Parts: sequence; C-alpha cells; structure tokens
Amino acid sequence: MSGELAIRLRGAVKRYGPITAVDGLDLDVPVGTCVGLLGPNGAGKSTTMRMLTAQAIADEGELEVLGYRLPQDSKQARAHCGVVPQLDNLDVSLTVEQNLLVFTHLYRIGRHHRHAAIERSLELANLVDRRDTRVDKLSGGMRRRLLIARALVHQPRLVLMDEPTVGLDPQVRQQLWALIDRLRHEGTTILMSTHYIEEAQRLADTVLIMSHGKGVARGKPADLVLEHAGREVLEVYGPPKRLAEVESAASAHGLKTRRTGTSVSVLGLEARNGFDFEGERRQANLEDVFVLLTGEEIA
Amino acid sequence: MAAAARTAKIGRLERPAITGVLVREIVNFSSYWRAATFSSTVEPTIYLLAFGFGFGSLVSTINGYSYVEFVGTGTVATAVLFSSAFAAMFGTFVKYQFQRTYDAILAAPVDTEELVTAESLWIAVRAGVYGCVPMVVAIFFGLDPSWGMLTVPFIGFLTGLGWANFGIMTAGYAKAIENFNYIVSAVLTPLFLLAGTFFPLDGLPRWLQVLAEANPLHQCVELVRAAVLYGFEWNDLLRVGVLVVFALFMWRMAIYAMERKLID
Amino acid sequence: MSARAASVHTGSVESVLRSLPVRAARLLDGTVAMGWAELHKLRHDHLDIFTRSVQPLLWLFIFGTALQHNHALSGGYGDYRAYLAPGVMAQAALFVAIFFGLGVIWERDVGQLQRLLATPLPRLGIVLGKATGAAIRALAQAVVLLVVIAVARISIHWSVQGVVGAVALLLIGTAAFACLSMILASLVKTRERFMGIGQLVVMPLFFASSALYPLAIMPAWLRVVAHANPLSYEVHGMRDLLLGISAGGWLWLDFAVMISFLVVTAVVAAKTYPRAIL
Repeated sequence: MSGELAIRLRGAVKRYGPITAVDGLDLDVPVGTCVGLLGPNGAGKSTTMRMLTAQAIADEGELEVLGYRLPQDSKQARAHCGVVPQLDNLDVSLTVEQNLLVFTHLYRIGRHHRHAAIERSLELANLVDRRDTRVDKLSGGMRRRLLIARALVHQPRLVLMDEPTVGLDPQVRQQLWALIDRLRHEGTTILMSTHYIEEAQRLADTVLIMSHGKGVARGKPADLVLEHAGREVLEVYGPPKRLAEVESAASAHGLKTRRTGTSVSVLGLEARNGFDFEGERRQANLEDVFVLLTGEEIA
Repeated sequence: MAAAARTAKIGRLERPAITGVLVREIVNFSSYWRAATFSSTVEPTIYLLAFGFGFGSLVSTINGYSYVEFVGTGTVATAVLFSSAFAAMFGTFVKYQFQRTYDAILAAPVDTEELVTAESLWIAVRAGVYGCVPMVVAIFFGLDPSWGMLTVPFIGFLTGLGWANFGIMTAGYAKAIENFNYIVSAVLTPLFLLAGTFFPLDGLPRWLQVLAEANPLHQCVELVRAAVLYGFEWNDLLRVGVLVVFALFMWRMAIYAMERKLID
Repeated sequence: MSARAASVHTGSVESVLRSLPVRAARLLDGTVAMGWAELHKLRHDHLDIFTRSVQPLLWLFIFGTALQHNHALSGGYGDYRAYLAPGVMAQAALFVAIFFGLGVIWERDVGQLQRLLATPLPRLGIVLGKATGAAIRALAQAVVLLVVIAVARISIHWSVQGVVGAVALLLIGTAAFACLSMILASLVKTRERFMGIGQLVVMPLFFASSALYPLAIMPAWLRVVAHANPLSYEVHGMRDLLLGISAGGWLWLDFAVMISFLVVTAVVAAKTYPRAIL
C-alpha cells in the first residue's frame, strides 16, 4: 500500500485580514520523495511553509508533519525537520562554523556528536575551507549553501526548502541542484517550493501546481505535461492580430492554446484535427501546463 | 510500519532550548562586546563623575551619608537600567526587523517562551555585571568597600531581568525604531528621575514620593544602598518582592508581545 | 593665453570684490531655499516636538523641584527651578542639534546628498540652510517649554527683550551645534557609530557647563573645561536675560562667543560636507 506521509495537509486555510493566502490546500508528501510546490509569487507557497513550522497557525484544516499534529505537537516535528528559508537569516557577524555550532545546540545534538555533525555539514555544502570566514564576506551562492548546511546539521528526516535558488546565477544554481539531488538519493524527504519550472522539472518526483492558494494539478512532471499539454506544441510568433487568428482557428479545431506576450502556443498538436498553421514545432513542457492551468505568466 | 519514532516527551521551558538560544547570544556577544560595554558603562560613569564633582562640592551629606556614597550606590541602578532596558529594546527590534534571526530560531524546536526567557536571562546577567562598574569607580573616589557589595550583582541581575523583559515587550509592540523615543521620554526618563539615584526624593511632594515606591528602579537603588551602606532590614524583603513581581509580570508580557509579533 | 583668461588674471582682487554682493546674494538664496526645505520636513514631524519636550520638562519638574530650595545650587538666586529652566531649554535644543547630523547620514544613504552637491547651491548655503532648519525646530520646542514655564509660574523675568534675546541666543547656539553635528556626521559615516559618538559628545557638553549649576561651585579642573564649552556661554547669556543673573560674566561676551562659534562651525561644515559621501 502507500508508504507513510511525511506531510499531510487537508483543506488548509490561512487568512491575513481580507486576503486568503492559502485557500483549502491539500498536500501529500510521501516519505523519501521530493515534492515540488510550483507557483508564481503570491500563490501561497511561503505561507504554506510557515504553517508547516507553526510560525503561522492555520485558520482551518488538518495539518500533520511526520505524524505529529500541528500546531499542538509542532515542536516535536520541528526537531526532525530542516528548514531552508527564502530570505537569508544567518548571523552575519559570525563565521560559517559558528553559525553551524549555534544550530547544533538549537537542534539538540549531543556534545559528543556536535563536531562530527559540523564537519559533515561543511563537507556536504563544500564549505570546509571557508569554515572561519565571516558570513558577511561570503558570496550569495555560498551563503545559500550555508543555509542548506545549517538545515541539515541534525540529519533531519524532512527538509523544507523555500525557493532555494532564487536570485542566484545559473552556475551557482546548478551546484545547488547537485546538492539537492544528492539529498534525494540519500533518501531525505524534501518539500521544495519554487517558481522556476526547470527546477521543479529536474528535481521533483511529483509536482503540485499552486495558484491563488489552491492546488490546481498534481502529478509527476512528465505525466502532467502529457495530460494537459500533449506531446507536441506549435509556437506561432506575430503581431496581435495574427495571434488572435491562430487562437480562434485552434479552438475551432478543438485544440487548447496558451499565450506568452509575443507568441501563441497551440498545445496537443499531435491530435491535429486538421489544424494547419506556420510556426515553430517544439515539445510540450511544464510551463505550458502551468500557464494553461493558472492563466498566469511565470516569472 | 510504525509511525515516526517519537522522541522523548517535549515540554515547556526546556533546558536544551534555552541553552541553545543562550549559546547563540554568547557567541554573538563576542563580536560586539566592546560597543555594548562602552555604552553600558560610560554614560552611567559620566553621571557619577559629573554629579559627584558638581554636587559633591556643595552637598556634603545626605541623610548622614557622604555624597560619594549616595551617588556611587545610586548610579548602580542607572547602569543596570541602561544595560538592560536599552539593550533589550534595540537588540530585539534589530534582530527581528533586519536580521530575521527569530525566524531561524523558531524553525528549530524552540518556542517563543524559551526564546524570550533565554534572551532576558542573558541581558540580566550583563546588567548585574555592568551595574557594578559605577560602584567600583566610586571606590576609587572614596566609597568604602564593604561585604554587602557582593550582593550588588544579584540585585542588579534581578532588576535587570524585569527591565530586559520590559524592553523585549516594548520591542514586541513597536512598529518602527522611532517608537522607542516615546518610551524613553515618557516611561524611562521619569522612572529614572524618580528613583533617588543621584538626588534625594525628600524635596518632592508627597504624592510623587508615594509613586516612587512603585518604581522598581527606586527599589533597586534602596536595596543597593542597604547592601553597601545601611545594612539589610526586613523591609528589604518587600523591596525584593516588588522586583520579583515586576520581573515575572514583564516576563509574561514580553512572551505575549513577541508571540503576537512572530507567529501569524 | 586667450584674452578672457588674461582679463581674469589681471585685476583679480577687484573682480573678487565686485563679485562679493553676487556671492552674498547667492548665499542668502541658497540658505533660504534649504531653510524652506527643512521647514517642510518639520511639518511632518510636529508630534515629535511635543514628545521631545517631555524629557526636558521631566528634568525641570522632578529634578528641579527636588532641589528647589537649595540656595548654593542656584548660586544664591533662591529658586533652583527658575535657575535650571534656561539650562533645561538649552539641553533640549542641544539634543535637537546634535542628532541633526543623523539626517545627513540618512541623506547620503538615499542619495540626496549627492544630488544637493550637484546643484549650484553654495556649500555654505546648504549648511546654513540646514542649521536654520535645526534652529527652527529648537524654536518650536523653546516656545513649548516657555509656555509650560509660564503656566507653572516659574519665576523668570518676562520682559520682551529678555525673552527675545534669550531665544535668539538659543537659536544661534543650536545652529552652531547643528553645524558641529554635520561635521561629526561627515567624519563618522555610519548611523550606529554616529549615535554612539553623539551620546559621547552630548553628555560632557551638558555636564561640563553651567547648565545645571554655577561655575563657581565646580572644582577647578571642571571649571576650566566649562569655560572652554560654548554651551556655558549660551546658558549664561540666557540666564542673564531671563533671570538677571550675570555672576561676573558679560552678556556681550556670550553673544560674541556664540556667533564666532557659529561662523567657525558653519565654515568647517561646508568644507567637510562633501566628505560625508563614502
């Protein structure tokens, strides 16, 4: 049967005054998998992350992390979770090693295991030769690696990552992906929120597409693409009038379309239904699915 | 397969959590101790010297004690106040606003109650130590050392605990760092002036003197004077009681205010 | 060498003298412009004036009352509270002036400093304009304090030339200390360090002056320091005008010291102002 769930949310709701940030969210994260929470800014991803560490209390719904009910038993759950926040909250006047040391205490690692835990984290994040560097002297990529190292110092069963590679250069992003991949292969359960399609596609076993506080589709990336966007896509560039023509022609043939600012993509081209237009043929991807389902441009 | 293996029962005010936050404070202190020591000791010492020399040449005795004795013991409370209330207000606010430090700590198995308790304990320890500085300076200017002086760090600690919690509570409610100006002018200055630190309260109208009895800072001053000059009496237990009540009340208020701020 | 350059070189002294009224006019213009800008800022902060008045009033009414009948402290005047009043007014204005420099650092941080320096406003005009802004704030505060003093019937001499003269002296002093603060800001550069240095400067300035008690009762070494402190002259002049206490000093000397202090600090501030840019 199904394995255990590291995270189980049913109907989670969180309101901030008139704004409903999370609007009835269902989320399952099975143990040992990596689930990507994909959505644009404002979809409710960060709020969901905060609810999982009980730094935001849900107004409605059931929340369970590692079998513990939230928010009552959140402290016990947090002892086994590692959190990589979106915004840097390192102690800037301390060194890399000192930052890790502080967290070995906060995560209750016994005296005899602290040193080994710090060494292991430094190695994982490739910061061994930077252990005595003050954090305010580190580059953005190194700081992000330290954030991840800090989250892993107590070998948590579940890691929550909120936009782990936002704002970083492509090369640095690749390095971090390798790190996250390594964690996956070691069997750590990961919940990762992101608005980068490629990141979700590469790293996540399953993806939950979020929009306006709700989940709108869930599944393996490849399955989602096949189900909603088909195999092949035709991308047509041109002035707005032409794009409108393409759209009406496509819908007349029963085909779905989606817009980017400068082009229209006609999805599921293999079921041609007699549709015939000039354009660029390409493979369907997760971005097509996303825009189709949420009607939003992704950054 | 069994559900997630349960760890030992987790409760409130756990030692590892408090120790963890304390470790963080202590490790960080090593990077700003010079500035903290400077601001906590220089200003009270200036008060001591300025009033000691200025007034001291006029006022020879107050209630039978020399002015050096009066002001040397009084400025202990000044040093305690400066090193606890101000440190707590500004330190907490900066950590929250600019460094998002608390987000990191609360993602670990630490709750707000433990966080606040650890931080105010640390500030209170510092207040107990810094509070002794003006007293030590006064010794060089004629204050006779006495065994009672050994209790002064503890009096400073207890007073500092209340003021640290007060500071944390204020930071919990403050929306901008400018808000602290109001607290300093409207709360701290009157309490500082109505404590008998460097001038006696005898010349003030009766109602102000009664108000001063409710001022924790005044109780601190009287306790320090008792310790160093007069000797303790049963009355002083009441004074300790006031400080304990102040510390406990502010502790709960600080936790309440910070929980409101940190947990949505 | 071009004909224009040649004509600039010859008769250079005359040309400087001829340009003096132009430069003076430009200076005045610049000062007024900056002054208006500061006045605008003040309208946003009007609540601030009241809250900043609380502290000096507390000193006056708690500290002053506790020692009210101490003859020696008031140098024989009798009413220590009245004696203290000018000192407290000067303290309030000093606070406003010394932390004015914080605004300069803020300006640099948001880029306004660089923009100001790029305008044709003369540096001295910018500095004087800002100092005027500080003085206007101090004026508002002084008015509040005077109103409270009147209501509390603290016995100062309410003569027109007395009050106007005392306030004028206060404003000159404030402007000068504001310039001093700007000099500090351009040297110190970060907000935190400025706050620390500010405290370190205000306390001795205040205590090593005649604000709290007469110079006569100070030990010799403190008296020497107080004599070198412009604040002593400011407070002395105010006491002379408001209470009639001259304690062996001269009113003209007080004004002379304060005006020269203002001139010196303004000129130095104009020179160091651009250095506030990192």
